[in-house]
Amino acid sequence: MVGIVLVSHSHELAVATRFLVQSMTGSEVHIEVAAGIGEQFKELGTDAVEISNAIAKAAQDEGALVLMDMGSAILSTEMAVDFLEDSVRNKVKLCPFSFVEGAVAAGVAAKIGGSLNTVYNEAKNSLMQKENHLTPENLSLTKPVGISMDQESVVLIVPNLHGLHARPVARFVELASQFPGDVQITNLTTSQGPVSGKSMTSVMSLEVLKGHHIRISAAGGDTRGFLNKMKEEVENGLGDDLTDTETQDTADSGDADQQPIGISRGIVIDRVYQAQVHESDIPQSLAEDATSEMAVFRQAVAEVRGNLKNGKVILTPTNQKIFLAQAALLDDPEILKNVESLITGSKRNAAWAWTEVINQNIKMIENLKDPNLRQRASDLKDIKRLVLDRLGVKAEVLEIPEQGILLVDNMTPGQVTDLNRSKISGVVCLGNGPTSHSSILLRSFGFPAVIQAASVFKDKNVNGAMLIMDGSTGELILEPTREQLFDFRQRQRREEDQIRKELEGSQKAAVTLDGKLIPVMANIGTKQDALMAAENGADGVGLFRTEFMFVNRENGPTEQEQVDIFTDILRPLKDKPVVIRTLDAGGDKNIPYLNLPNEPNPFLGIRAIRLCLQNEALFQSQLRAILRISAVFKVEIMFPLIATLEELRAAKRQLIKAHETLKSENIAHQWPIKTGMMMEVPSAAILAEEFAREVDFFSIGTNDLIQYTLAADRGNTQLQQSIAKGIPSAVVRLIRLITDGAEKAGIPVAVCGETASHPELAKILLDCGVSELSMNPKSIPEVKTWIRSVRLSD
Amino acid sequence: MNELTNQMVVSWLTEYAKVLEENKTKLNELDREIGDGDHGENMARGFTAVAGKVTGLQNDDIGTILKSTAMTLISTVGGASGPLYGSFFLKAAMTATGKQTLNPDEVKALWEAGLESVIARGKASVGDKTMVDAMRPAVQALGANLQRGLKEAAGQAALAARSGAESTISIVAKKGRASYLGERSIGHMDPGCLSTQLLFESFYKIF
Repeated sequence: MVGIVLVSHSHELAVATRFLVQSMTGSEVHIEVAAGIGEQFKELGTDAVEISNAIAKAAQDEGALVLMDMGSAILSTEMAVDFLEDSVRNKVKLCPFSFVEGAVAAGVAAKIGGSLNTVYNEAKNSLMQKENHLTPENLSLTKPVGISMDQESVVLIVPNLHGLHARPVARFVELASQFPGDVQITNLTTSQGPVSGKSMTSVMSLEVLKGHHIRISAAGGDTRGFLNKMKEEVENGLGDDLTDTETQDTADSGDADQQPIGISRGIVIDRVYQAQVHESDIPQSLAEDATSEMAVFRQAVAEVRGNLKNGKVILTPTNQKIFLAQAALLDDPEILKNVESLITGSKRNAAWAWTEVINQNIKMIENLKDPNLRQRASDLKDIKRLVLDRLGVKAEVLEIPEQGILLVDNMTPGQVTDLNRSKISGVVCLGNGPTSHSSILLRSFGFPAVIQAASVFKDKNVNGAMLIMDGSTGELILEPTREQLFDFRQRQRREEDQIRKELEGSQKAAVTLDGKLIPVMANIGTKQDALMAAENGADGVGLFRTEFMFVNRENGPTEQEQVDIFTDILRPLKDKPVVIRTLDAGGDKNIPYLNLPNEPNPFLGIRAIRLCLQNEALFQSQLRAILRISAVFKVEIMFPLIATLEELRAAKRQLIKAHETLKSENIAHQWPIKTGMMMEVPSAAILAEEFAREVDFFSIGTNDLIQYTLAADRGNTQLQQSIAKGIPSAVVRLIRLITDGAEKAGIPVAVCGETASHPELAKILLDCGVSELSMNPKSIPEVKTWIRSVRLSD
Repeated sequence: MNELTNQMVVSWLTEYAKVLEENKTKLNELDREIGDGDHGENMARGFTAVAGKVTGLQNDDIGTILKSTAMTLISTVGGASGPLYGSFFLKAAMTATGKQTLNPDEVKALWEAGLESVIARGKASVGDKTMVDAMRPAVQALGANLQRGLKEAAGQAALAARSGAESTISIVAKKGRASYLGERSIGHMDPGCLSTQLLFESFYKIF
């Protein structure tokens, strides 16, 4: 039974109230009193320690509802709650309603076995009876603010097999948000609510199951029209297929039917530990100016929302509907309102305010009974991280208690870069698609990794168990036998020898068995990449990504800045050829200083070369910078996302212009300079012959070429099965068109996509006529060794 | 000496108890105008109990001294000052656990932690006519003047607390019992501000 705690300045008042309540309910209802201070509690006041003890006592069974009279009683109670143990605190609710009436209503509800929520709601509605009696003509006294006299409602029965789980809730909220006035929803069956119908977390908190009665109320608009629409939508299942017997939201942590895939080489024999998320300390500083802090927060939310809606976030492998659900969470008016009041009211900085509110919601969702709804806590965690990331705060670092293998559901790219290399010997993910950004990072950092491992770890609690993992084959053996250990230790030794030989051999050029020299280059973006490239024997740089110089900044980089950055990064690769790709940033909002207009489809809009052609000053500064360092390094230049000959010609004209201005200023640079283009857009591949006449080389971006050709998103695990296996034949055919066209014009073709680093796939490329491979630096030694073992005419 | 020792902390609290006793009537009067008239009573009682407790803790770490202060206040100060000053000393204590002396930066951190917890507990901002109006400028002044030495910084803080307190005379209360009076709260200093000002003045006296 739920207990009750009465907190008052006056000991007498509290005791008398308890007497009143128990005269109706009997003394089985556990009521603790924490009131008054001093000798025999005769003085008026409250004591947080007394209150805390009282709550702990009353909450022992099924939790406690705490009623307070006013003022400092509330402050003391809030302090008292801080003193409680976590396990107790989770089952305590503070009652914001009237003291005496609330206590009586709560007592009765507790007596008949009500849950904590029910007891709370009964206290909430407790004033109604008195009001109705005394002022029947003015029923709006206890109505939530905003609901006016023209409020109408409809009562419906929910038909969905799994009740209102995430997808129908998202749909409900989507519809409600379109209504201009107020929308409230109440779960009549469990007496929960009313809550705002526009708030996803609030609606989820009602835990509406099949057969529950709900009341939808609306006011301030065409209420009849809206309610009729809602009635229809609810009766039709809000997007669920009502004939389906198994409508489930897809779990985030990987399908238990998928086989584990090895994505980063390395045999590890070590103990495996469940990742612990270590919440980095959020700076708990006060905001100087609440207005600008709010603006910063809103901007961050808008950016994340935009990224989620146009699919630019390669975060977790989820299907499109879940992304929309996540975006809806960002629209949740309750969440936003609470953050706002913490920023403007308590003057907290945005990250602190956001973390507090989102953590509360996460806790609330994690405590819901329905497992599907509970899953949505991971969505909240995702958007928590995304927003914090935008606010410049690192949210969660994955850690394990001892040296070993990290086991995790999914990882964000940021979490990969934060991994503690000295502690973590390998990574096992239950989810993640093979070409998602995080996987690519795991490879380039050299963490042995296996993904899609859900089937092996299903229902197992593995902390500290011994695990053998093979990052090449994807094999996972939990609690291996002695034979298996012996076997794998041998394999491990052989692999280590192999790696050592590869590294030694990597500094030399790789020549096939039939004498063809294949340059193996590196894809780089940072100084660290450049160093790794040099260490791992890169023959040069096949792709130098320049976006980082332009994004997430207040203004663009100056020409001199770019020259300095290039010089610094390229130093370890002084005499090697370097292909620099001009800005390939998307038309999303991470280049604020360009004031780009909103686009419905930024991925297919003003980005990359189009962006540069529309921003001449920006493009000129980059082209001049690249030309200037060509005086010192062996630089070649390449344009991204070229789809038409006009685009290519316009870009080349810009390059010539940059050359001419530098020449007129007597600034040394190489001219002419080798100029190539990325082959990633199908239209260019199809017209490869024409394009080949106008450039000095092609570089195939296989990831994007595959994406555009198959109209499929590489970060989406649901699609992995059909596009992950090798190179789709349509794309192979396009590659042949590219190499044939190139051959006719006598120009070389390189590949800079991830496929270049997989020997089986590289073979296909080389057989098509590709003559150069560029990849993440870590893979270079392995690929060179492999090249030395093949014969191209096979 | 540019540091804060455990013995100095005890002196501070003992001095403050004395000052509160001396100003008890004044505080009650201010509270009568815009509250329930017992702020002086409450604070004097609370800190007299504190003084009694901490005299025996001279050689303990500062965290222990402040925590003991907090817990004593919570049980003896009936009104909002209990949880508010209680939170202040509790959070301040957490920054000084195990330390017998604090250097200037640690002193700054201590006050900032205390201020944040008062704001978090009472949810008041500057301009609401509460103790925050005196405390926030004082803590800022302390931080800004650290490089001049702790004594000077403490002096500046006390001055800032006083002008912060005086600024509340002409504004409307938005929190606490006084807020029930609305415009009638204008013309009276918030009593919590005076007790805060006295807190900073006592702090200055120990250097």
